Amino acid sequence: MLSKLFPNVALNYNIFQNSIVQTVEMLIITGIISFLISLIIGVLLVVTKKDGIASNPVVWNILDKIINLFRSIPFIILIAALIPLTRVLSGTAIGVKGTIFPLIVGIVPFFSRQIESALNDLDQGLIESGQVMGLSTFQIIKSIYLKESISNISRVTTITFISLIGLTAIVGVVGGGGIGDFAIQYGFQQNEQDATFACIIVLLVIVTIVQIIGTLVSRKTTH
Amino acid sequence: MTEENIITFDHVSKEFTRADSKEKLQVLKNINLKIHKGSIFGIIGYSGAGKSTLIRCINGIELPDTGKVDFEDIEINHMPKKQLRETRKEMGMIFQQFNLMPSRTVFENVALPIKYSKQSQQQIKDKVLELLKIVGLPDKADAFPSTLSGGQKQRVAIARALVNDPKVLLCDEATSALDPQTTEDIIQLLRRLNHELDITIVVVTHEMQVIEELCDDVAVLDKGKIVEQGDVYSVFVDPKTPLTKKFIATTSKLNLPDEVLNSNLLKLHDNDLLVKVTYISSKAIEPLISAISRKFNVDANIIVGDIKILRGKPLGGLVIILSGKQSDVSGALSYIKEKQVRTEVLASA
Ligand SMILES: Nc1ncnc2c1ncn2[C@@H]1O[C@H](COP(=O)(O)OP(=O)(O)OP(=O)(O)O)[C@@H](O)[C@H]1O
Ligand SMILES: [Mg+2]
Repeated sequence: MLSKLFPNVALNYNIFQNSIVQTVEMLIITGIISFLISLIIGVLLVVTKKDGIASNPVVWNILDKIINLFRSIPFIILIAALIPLTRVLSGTAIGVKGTIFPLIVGIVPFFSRQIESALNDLDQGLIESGQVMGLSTFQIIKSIYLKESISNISRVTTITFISLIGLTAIVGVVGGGGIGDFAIQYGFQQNEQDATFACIIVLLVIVTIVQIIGTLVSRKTTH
Repeated sequence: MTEENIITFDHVSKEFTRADSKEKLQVLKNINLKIHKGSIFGIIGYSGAGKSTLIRCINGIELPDTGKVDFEDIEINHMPKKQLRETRKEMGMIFQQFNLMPSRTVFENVALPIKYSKQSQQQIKDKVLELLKIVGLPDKADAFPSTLSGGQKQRVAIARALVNDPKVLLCDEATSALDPQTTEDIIQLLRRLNHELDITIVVVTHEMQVIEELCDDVAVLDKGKIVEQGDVYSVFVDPKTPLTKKFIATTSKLNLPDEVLNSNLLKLHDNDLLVKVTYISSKAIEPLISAISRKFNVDANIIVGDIKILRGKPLGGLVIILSGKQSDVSGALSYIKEKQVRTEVLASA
């Protein structure tokens, strides 16, 4: 079946399989690291804003400006610009190892904004009731902002992961490996249409799985 | 009730700068208040009068620009953050929108304020269940807020506000999102808590009914200024400002609309007078009516009556038509005027 519908994929089956593994690796590693970083930045943006529970215009402005700066750079240019730094940090600028750093830098600004808006969506009255209870800033962040936003956070995390899948494909172009790399090498450069389609199908499957998980978490946490 | 003050406002003013226009808005103007320990204090005003801002100055969610707010003789508005947080635990607060945490059960909501305290799980459990019993929801511990009615949500919010054994309960429009019957129930609950727990209650509302049924003292707030204050009976019986009168009119049936006064519905003939007689003290009005009919040979025809007992004293009055000979009617009128009631001639034939 495979060799009939996707003859070129069947020919390079090991490479194809390996590129799926690479993409999943990139997604999991960058996903976890950027989630943690973005959560911190998102929380900082929300609590330090004007009228925030730990208002601090200096911190807010710095974060805001940096995020805007990075978001205005197209990802492919960002990868190129980051190469020297990536080498220092990962020892290499190619392969899965070399993709982690640019992927994180590429996704965190977007992810932080998503988390920020998820937290800002929370009813201000809930935050106020935390304040009148005499909870500390940290307690309000933990027990109200994060706890009450789990469903919103999982929604924006799903959106972000889907963008991240896009970025992992782009990063392949500059020798990062993964599905994107496979599609470019076989589908584009060798004009093997079936290879491109196989990559699309794999990406669709990954997107669908991410979306199903996201919906499940979101539903489980909504009462 | 002792005369000791638990909360005082001393020349408190506050202004906000509008984000859009940079225009300054004076929200509180030179507020002076004394709230007795153990009393129920009401603040009434229209939307935008500054009620929420005022009540939030009590727990330091808002800080005054000038003046000071004292809680048990300690100034709220210059407290270090940590001390302010500890002080807030001595004041519970409930809101119009309940502000319950949707992802937590009723039990977890009520337990939230003491989640980080040093109490053991067992102590927390006992305390929460006891409070749920007090507010009348002993079997709702495991329910989620979304499954409760408005009245039940407010009860949960009250239990949550009481979990730190506060000395003061602040209520910002706590009944404004509830239907009349539920409002009534919550008012009863608050009165009971005031009695049983000896907790001081401060309520902010735009409904005069809440003031009438719940409060001992009242302050009327108009565009950031307190225009009138006093104990509820005196203010109801003898309101001084037009705004206060307007609020009181919403709870009284004695105000005949102009359409009625100007129409022929009342059928006043000859020397008839339409008179409103209202209480200004606890002297009874009814004997007065029979006295004038005997003494002056006039008919006193009751058109509307609205007499209720407020804090054990009568409030309200009657609208009557006096008819008879000219001299008898005017004699009766001056007789009434000498008594401890307020008389107002609304119309004459
Ligand atoms: N943080 C703020 N910044 C700017 N203006 C504010 C702020 N908070 C309140 N105001 C303004 O101050 C005025 C008084 O507000 P406040 O909420 O105290 O009124 P209120 O009497 O509680 O009204 P309502 O019955 O609508 O709750 C309003 O005009 C409001 O727009
Ligand atoms: Mg308000």
